[in-house]
Amino acid sequence: MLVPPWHETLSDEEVTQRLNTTMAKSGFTSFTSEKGGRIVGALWYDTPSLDDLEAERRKPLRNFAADLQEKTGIGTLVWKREVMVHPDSQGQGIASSLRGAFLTHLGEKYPTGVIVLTRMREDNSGIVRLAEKHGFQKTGISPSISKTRSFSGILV
Amino acid sequence: MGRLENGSISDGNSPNERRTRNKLTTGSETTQPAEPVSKFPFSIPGIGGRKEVMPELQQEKTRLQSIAPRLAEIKEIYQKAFAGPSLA
Repeated sequence: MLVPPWHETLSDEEVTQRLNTTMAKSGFTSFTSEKGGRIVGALWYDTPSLDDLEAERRKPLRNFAADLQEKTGIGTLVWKREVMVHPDSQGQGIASSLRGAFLTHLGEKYPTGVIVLTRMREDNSGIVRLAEKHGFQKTGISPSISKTRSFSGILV
Repeated sequence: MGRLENGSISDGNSPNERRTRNKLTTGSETTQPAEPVSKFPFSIPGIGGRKEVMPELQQEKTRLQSIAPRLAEIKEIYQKAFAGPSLA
């Protein structure tokens, strides 16, 4: 069986730790998709400050975001984190539905515009293409220790 | 079935009766009769009453919702959705 290379095997403790860290972030907000009362997918985001960006991804990302803020006059930063769908429910439009709910929510909450950041592994070519199709631009910032690359998009 | 009214057979469909059925008048207020409330969330009209829909056939519902109270489910999906050998 071929396993896509961006997957990871995570222990229960690792997942718990990641989720606890994620939920503690500034402005953490989540969306869920349910079917038959069970959650089958989720998406979440937070609203980092420039200092938060620097603490997490060093100075280059801070500078990139600060430049975008200056160029666009948009101050709010939103970092779209995970979009995940249970394997049994994949291919049914759940991820699209979550993204749609997320974008609608942002449009309502930030009517004057928002800068959306996200990151993904550059070897996950399908999701990279999808991000570019939705207007995300590569920041060119990639921490040397991982295969993740940052992207940014501007939603006005 | 018709009923006897004022010495004549009524089929329950005279203009006055229709008006009475369609409006409930209380003092100066006129209220439309409420739709019958289904106790079960799903009913299929026209085929003999309420029918249970299997959970897997239910529509997906996406909304803003805190994951904190549903962490066990989220953890399970997180593990399954991202499971596999790591290259990070």
